[in-house]
Amino acid sequence: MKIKLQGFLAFFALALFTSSTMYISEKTPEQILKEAESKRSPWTQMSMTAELNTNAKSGTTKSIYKVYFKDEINTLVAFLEPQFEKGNLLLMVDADLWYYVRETKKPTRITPVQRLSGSVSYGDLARLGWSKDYTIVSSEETELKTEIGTSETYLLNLAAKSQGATYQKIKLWIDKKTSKPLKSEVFLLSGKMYKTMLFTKYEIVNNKEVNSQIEFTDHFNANQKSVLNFSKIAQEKTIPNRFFIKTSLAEVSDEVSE
Amino acid sequence: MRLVNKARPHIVFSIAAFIILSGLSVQAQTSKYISEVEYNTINKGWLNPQNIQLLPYINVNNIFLYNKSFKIWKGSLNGNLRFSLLNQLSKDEVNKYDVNDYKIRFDPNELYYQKSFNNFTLGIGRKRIKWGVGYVSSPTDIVSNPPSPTDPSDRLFQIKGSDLFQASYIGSKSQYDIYLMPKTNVNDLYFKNHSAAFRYFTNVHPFDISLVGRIDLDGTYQAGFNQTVAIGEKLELHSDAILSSKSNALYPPDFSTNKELSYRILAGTNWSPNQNYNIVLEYFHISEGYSANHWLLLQNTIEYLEAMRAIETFEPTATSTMKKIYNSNVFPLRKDFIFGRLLRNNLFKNAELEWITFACINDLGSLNRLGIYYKFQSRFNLYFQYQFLLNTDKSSFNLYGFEDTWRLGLKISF
Repeated sequence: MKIKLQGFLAFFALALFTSSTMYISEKTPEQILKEAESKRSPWTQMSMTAELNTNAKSGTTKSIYKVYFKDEINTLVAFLEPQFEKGNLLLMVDADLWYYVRETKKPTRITPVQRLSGSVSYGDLARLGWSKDYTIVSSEETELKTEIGTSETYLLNLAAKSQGATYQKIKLWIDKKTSKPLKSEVFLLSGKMYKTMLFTKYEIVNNKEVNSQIEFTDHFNANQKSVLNFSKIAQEKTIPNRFFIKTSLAEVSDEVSE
Repeated sequence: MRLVNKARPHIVFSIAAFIILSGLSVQAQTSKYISEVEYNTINKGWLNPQNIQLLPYINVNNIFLYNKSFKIWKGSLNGNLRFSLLNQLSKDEVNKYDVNDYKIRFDPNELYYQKSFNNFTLGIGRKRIKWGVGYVSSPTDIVSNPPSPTDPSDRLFQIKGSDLFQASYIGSKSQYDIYLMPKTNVNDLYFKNHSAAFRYFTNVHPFDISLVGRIDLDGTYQAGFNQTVAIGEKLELHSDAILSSKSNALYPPDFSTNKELSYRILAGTNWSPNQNYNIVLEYFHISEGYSANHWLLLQNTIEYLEAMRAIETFEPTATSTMKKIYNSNVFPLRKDFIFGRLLRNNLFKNAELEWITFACINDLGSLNRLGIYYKFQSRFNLYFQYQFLLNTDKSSFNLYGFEDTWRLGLKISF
């Protein structure tokens, strides 16, 4: 009887382990990426305040932006601080990106990889997801060691669908248990590693766990560090269409630069 | 010193007081202060005899642009107020300007209230409207003036808005705008009558397209379109065209207007080969520009008037006629032009280099400008510009008052 019970428990443990392993391995890389994206943008319409701090030789610089996202492909970034940049806007629709200068009332087309401030590119702020701009080239399961410990992760290797993407290649580590993005390394067309990003903080908003801090290390700029903090993360009912039309930026600039 | 136009500041101060009393929240704020000195080598060519345009040798310009938005009644009140002290220090090599002539000018370039709800935006007041897609002088900028090719960045904030009522509807991929412009002193700079303008914008991937039109109460009209298209990440092509029922250009020998339909076309490209370079190249055709025959007639007229100025009894009339010619003709004068701008970012840390050439294809004259801009401590921008004319002898560029200009300035953002 004792042997039978041990055998049953062993079988049960094996079955439990196998089913759990099968459950994880049954996730496709695309599903893994989607779940990771939901940790950055859980709603189709949302807004947040982004504060960017950069440590440079001349001291720490601070910039604040209000960011609106709609339907994955529309992003409006309103510059709030420093004061002399207030009223400027960044508009991203699909893969097209414009920088609107309040002084000239003119949107100028730019590329996502251009530097916004410190180690952060325009695309880092205007895009929360990866699947629109990148395809999954390969995936593997691996351990990730960071300052806060070791995590079991999926490592996805992403390649840009077009040269218009912010980066040409991305290595993205996603926590196996929680689906949180933990780290990414981004590469330029030349193959050189440009930046490392650590997704260091998450918070619960409306019962959803959302990324609220990213640390950037710029390997092209003496490993300069920048920290992007997201606050006032909110699900929005309706963000008006006028926020995402190039020709209405003059009016939107007056409206959103609070 | 005195403040020109005392009534307007009174209105502005009243609005400011009201806003402060109402405890309204301040929104966008990008005020600027510019101080610059420029030295002109006066053009003493045969088309600009004895500095007929009275261009000063040394200029000191001080400009403060007060730019603020206030949240009010769930809309926003926006001001773009320009205070300028343009010190013309030296009339010529010997004579200085009278210090009593120095005036602080006040120009409310923009002052408007607007409110958005759902997909509508309504506005009233003085507002600068940018519809054109060209880097400079877009033909479809038919509500407010575009910047001049000689100062494409409008560095001294000289462009004023128009007094208007605005109603806009913005859909997911399209926008409709209607503007009504009553006859006011400021609108007189652009239109001579009550006027209405409209625009329809849409995106037909990959093209951004606008159809525009304007009709004045006297029946004169303008109609046109513009488009932009991105090719890859580095190249943008744009075009901009307008048809006008009436042109204000004056033609020699009697300097009357031409009643035929006229049109303006711009075609250009904006190319960013990498992060460090940006190149803009644009071609303009102005149908009402002077033909070779008109240009010859104008030169003969100026030569004749200059000869008359040597005769004492004819001098006042001849001088006044010449000044009228110089003041009434809007440059550029001929039909076909090329504008080019090269921007080199990161020339060295926080420094940019800019080269601008504005050239006439018909007579090969050109205006060229080298600019170096150095930004420091985020809010300070020190700039140096040197502009000069080339091949001007038989060119309409010879009508400019200078041969070259050196300029040094400081721009501070608040």
